[in-house]
Amino acid sequence: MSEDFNWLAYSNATQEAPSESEAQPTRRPRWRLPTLRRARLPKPRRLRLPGSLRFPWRRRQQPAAPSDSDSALNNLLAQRSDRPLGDLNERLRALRERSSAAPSQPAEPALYAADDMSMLPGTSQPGLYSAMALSQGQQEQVELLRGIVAPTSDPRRARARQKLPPIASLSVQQLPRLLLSTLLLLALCLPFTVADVYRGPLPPLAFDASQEDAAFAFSLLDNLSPASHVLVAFEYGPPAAGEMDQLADLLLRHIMARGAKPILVSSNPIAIVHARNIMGSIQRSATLAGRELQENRDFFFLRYLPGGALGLREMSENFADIARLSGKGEETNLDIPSLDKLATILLLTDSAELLRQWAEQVLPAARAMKLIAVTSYGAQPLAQAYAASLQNVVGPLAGMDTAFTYSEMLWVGFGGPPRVLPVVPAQEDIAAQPAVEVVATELPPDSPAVSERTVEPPPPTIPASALPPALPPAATASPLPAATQSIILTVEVVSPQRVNIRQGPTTVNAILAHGNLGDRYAVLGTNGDGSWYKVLLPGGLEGWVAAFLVEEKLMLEADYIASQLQESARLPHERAIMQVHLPLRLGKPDNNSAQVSSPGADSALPALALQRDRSDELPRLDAMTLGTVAAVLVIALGNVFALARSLLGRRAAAQ
Amino acid sequence: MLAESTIALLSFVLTLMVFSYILGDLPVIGSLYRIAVYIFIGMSAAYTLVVSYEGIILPYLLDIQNSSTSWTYLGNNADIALFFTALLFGLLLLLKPFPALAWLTNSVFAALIAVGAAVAVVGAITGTIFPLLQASSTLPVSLDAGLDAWLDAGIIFLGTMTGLFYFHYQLRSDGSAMPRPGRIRQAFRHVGKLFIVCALAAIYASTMLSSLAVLSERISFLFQFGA
Repeated sequence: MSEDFNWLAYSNATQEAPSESEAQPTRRPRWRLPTLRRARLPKPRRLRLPGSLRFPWRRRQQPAAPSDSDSALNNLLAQRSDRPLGDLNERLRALRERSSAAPSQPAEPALYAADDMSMLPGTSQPGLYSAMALSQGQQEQVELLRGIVAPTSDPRRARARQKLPPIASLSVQQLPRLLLSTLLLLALCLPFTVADVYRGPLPPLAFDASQEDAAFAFSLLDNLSPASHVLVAFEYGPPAAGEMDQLADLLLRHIMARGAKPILVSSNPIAIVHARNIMGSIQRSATLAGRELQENRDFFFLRYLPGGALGLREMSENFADIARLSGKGEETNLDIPSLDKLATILLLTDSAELLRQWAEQVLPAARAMKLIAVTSYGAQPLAQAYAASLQNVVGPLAGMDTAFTYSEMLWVGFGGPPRVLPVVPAQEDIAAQPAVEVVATELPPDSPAVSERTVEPPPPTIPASALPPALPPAATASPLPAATQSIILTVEVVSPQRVNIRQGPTTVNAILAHGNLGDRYAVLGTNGDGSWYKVLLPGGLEGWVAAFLVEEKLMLEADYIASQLQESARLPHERAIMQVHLPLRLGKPDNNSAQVSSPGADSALPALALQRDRSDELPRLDAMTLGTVAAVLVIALGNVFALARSLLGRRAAAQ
Repeated sequence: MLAESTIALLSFVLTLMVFSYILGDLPVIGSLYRIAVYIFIGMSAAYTLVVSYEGIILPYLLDIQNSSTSWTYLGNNADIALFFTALLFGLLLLLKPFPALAWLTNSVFAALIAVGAAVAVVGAITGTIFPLLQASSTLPVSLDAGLDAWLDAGIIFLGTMTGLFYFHYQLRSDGSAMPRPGRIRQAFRHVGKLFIVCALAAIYASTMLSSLAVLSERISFLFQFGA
């Protein structure tokens, strides 16, 4: 069948009589384009099975159905001659010329025959082709549109249309954009080229009370039982990798350094591939430490979960089935019947929407399990509001400053010496605070990833109150700072009843810990009227205790440290912060594996936390600071440019 | 397997190609950016295909081939019925190219959409609405709270209410427009608009920080590679 078959001609040929509009030209005052409302379209005909089975690529070859409609568009257009041709613009003129050209191609005879053959016997219904074809009105509309968008016959205009859009080139107007971009790039590049070009305030070395969620997340992972399983949801792809890889790497190392086993899963196939890259670097670190990490033994990659919320729901309902096979279709030998048998869930995402989906589809099946959310900067505002309203969501952790603090806590917690000396905020309203001098531990010469900037030649001094957070767990051997005979201010609980240590200096604030009679805490400050003390809790958290429940005591710092060590010694496998947050141990490991693979037994695992490449942490922090300043400058200058341009434009227009 | 140095070199070149966009849509440089984007999109599509095949399709096929595991794994009749239902649905999806039978495919799609909507609704109720109701059932501040806590709660309340005012539209049943709102409502709407603008600005600033973080990582990579 010919591709050049003219359906319009066929449709016109099937008409029995000329339309009324053809016989009597209309006398409208103005020429107008016809609309769909005026062209009466025939009702679509019902398909008849099985004779109407046709392949889609033959559908366009169906003839038009004979129709009662006589409002041929060409005729209408040809009749609208009340407006002189010269008044029309170029496009309308071309349109009228084309519409006035009558279709001259004859219809395909074979098509008539096929149409007649397919006509049902004994009926006056149109044939099969006619029934399947577009109606006449639709054909006319198609022709009209084709005429409008078809290339013109004028070769010059055709060449002009076919000419590619002009390629942009550097011009004076682009110069400001180029300059501003260069300024931004320069600001970001400076910290990597010039040492100490900018030294801003560093993030804290331990999470403080304002970062309670981050401290809680750290304590959750730090208290994982060996051989317990953590579900790690990798829900970000390469676009967010530059921002989130740092935290992802940290958290995965933390989990594995505690002997727990991450189970990686994602609803994004690219994210799974990316997660393999990160796990590959951790595997290399373990190899350097003399331990081979194997997939399906030390960590697991499950298949990706298609279908968004459906996939997540499937996993929450049939976790045993999902965990049966790895992403490569291999048996994982994981025997986890349901989600609530896991230790915790870690979600790494660059979208607040994904956090919501996980909280909606997975958390209800995980019951009281905590979900640690790690997001990008961009997702943080919405994720923060959402996470704050849900009890089982911890976080979100976001940003490079959080990563820096986490990295430092991990480093120190696994026996690394303090790399950067802490800066403790000035204590409030405490007059004559006794000076405390503590000799910091010297950095070993072969410490990995110690930059020049952080190594201070003389032994620096730090307040003693900053030391307890850096105390490592008793399970890991680490050098302890040697203290001089200094006196620090502490408070001792004198209330016979258990006292609450809260997040803020009001009874409304959340309770962080409980203190018993005789417990002592280092004082960090007081509130405005002295009715509350800000104290340092074991494990690094800061809390507030009411002044009438405690009594000030001066104490030798060595005694204080010793008391803290005794406190830690009573809980040999748990961090002191366990007293605050975690009454129960996390994870449900089987007893055999837990006994075999305790952190002390596998000395290579803590090395995972220490063998991170931290060389670019500080330059990136500086680059972020400088880049933010530069971005603000760029935005401000851009606005100034735009304002000046509009003012000049107005002045020029006025003249 | 490509050597690590080769991968790093490729990453270096591709990063520079993407960065070339800063110079605009120039004849040669602009095409570098486009080539890099095409490569990334193509690779993403290829990865998706491979991961889907390797992680989903292939394990099922192996399960079916392995008679010792598949049928025992399927277990009871309900599981077998579910398996064949899924198989039937998959086959029906293949009928999409045939217009006369497309309604069968559409019915599968309708079932999927309905199930997806049901899952989303149930998840929203159990995962978001109930927890939010529980959270909002307790007063954000107690009577003896400090001024700061009351101020915070007041700002949240004001922002929520005025934000709702800003998005409040009314239309009469006959379709005619409502009269111009009064001054108080206008004031509420303006305050709500202010809150919304502040929220959007915070999101924009966070997005900008995300971009800077990614950019700093790439620059760090470039310098490390150059060194």
